[in-house]
Amino acid sequence: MSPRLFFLNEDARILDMIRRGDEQALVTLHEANRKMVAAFIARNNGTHDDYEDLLQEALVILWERVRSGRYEHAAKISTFLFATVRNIWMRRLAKAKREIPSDMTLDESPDPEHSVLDTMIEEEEALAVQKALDHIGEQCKKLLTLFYWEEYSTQEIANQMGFANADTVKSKKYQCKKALEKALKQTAERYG
Amino acid sequence: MAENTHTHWTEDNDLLSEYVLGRLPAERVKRLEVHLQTCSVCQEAVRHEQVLASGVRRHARGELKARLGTMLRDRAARRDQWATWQRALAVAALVVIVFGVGLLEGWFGVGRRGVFPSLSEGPHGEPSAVTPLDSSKALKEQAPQAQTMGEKTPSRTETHAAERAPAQRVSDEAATPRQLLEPKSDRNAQPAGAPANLAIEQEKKKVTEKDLGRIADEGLSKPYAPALWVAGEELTSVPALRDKSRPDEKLLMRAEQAMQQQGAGATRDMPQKIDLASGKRFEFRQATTEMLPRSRHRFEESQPLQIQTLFRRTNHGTDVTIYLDTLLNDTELQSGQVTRVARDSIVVVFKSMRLGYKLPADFLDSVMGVK
Repeated sequence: MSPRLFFLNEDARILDMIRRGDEQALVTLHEANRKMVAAFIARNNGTHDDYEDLLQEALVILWERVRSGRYEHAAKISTFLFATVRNIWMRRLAKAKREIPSDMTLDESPDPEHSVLDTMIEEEEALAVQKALDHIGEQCKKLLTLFYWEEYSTQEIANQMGFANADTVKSKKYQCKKALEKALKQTAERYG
Repeated sequence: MAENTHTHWTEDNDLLSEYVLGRLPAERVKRLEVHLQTCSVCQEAVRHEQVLASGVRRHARGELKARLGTMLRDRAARRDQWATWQRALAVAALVVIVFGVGLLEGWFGVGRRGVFPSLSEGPHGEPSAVTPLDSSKALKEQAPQAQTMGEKTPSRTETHAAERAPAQRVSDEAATPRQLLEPKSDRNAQPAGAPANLAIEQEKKKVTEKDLGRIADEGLSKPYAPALWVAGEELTSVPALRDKSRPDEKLLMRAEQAMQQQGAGATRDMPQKIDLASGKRFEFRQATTEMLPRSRHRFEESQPLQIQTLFRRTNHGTDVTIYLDTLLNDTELQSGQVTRVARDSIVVVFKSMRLGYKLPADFLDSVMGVK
């Protein structure tokens, strides 16, 4: 039995929960930050549905960053969430050509070397991959998710999923990618 | 991971994945990108891998968002359910509180006068010397103070309780002295209670619990008690209905014989309030049951057929205040005759009724002389 950990603050406890894969941490964060986010969205031409969607997206991004080891705890989690919500909302406003409040600016400028068309094509292809994943089996889906989303190493994946070693994971990953490509091709042929 | 020797480095699937995920050292990335600048095959392979990774991430994010939405909805549902329970509990608590207060205040007709003892009051509002206190204990243990008029001090038996004619209270509209003398078929048997002496002893004990009662209690232990509450009973006055075998009837007959021995004429000439035997003076008063002190109401309610009476020693004798809704006229009231028929029993005879009382022997000794 692992020893019980004591945390100096709530943020540390939440981050530990995320690293352990406890999704209740997201529920806790949602409860703690929903009023702040709701107030921000309401002040900036948003609706209740907008705030719910944005907050959940920000929480998912936080989860992704923490699980992949790319999260730097430089400020409070609520600060990170608020900044993430703000950025996503700004991009959505720009996309929908809604009025952008004058006190807000885009934190990220679009890539000049990447055209809008390229972006749209990539998004469509990614959407196709997303749908094709439902046709490759749960084990492949989980393996690819651990590799590309949670950015586990092959050894970590072997430990997590019970494979013999890292080489086995590499071989399995190659097979799953082939299966995914096959599913993509079938989807493309079906819908032209 | 060693760089492969193939023309297209992207043919190494693992290397390609590592490059797309940004896990390669900077130096190696630089070398690979030099090749990418001129190789369209590798460019396409990298782009395809990026799309794959992007698709997998979107899919995983979507599933996580879906699970998060489900958890939040479940939590909201549980919160709403708990809020409903809280409201229901609050309402139930409020009902219990209101009901409890209502019971204490006697709103619902039970627990009248409250559960807790109240200050005793005299017949005219002044604090009384004797106050029975604990209502539940009093109701259970407080037996009518006036018991069977026996020669000794017997315990009241159920037979006597069933046979004794209870005191009558009638409304002002319906009551006539004649009605008081008529037997009532619905006279209930007196509940069997504690023995007379025990009731009186308990009455004594209750007195000690009140400051004013303490004086009476000390008085009761000595021959001269200042005041005493007694529950009297009306005795059968109709000769035709008398059962001479009954002990109380015997006492009544003895009282009448005593009066006759004194002579009717002598009785009229003598001060009517004086005990024939002792010559002690009794002053009779009457009040309606509404004027009973609050502390006596529960006795009056629990023993409705008995007549609450306050005996109070004064400098000139003994004041007897009878709480009775059927008013005796003043002449009749002042014509009351008191006869001590036993060491602890007296009979008060009015023209239209006869009342029996059982009092402590030492109290009677103090007011009437030693028998």
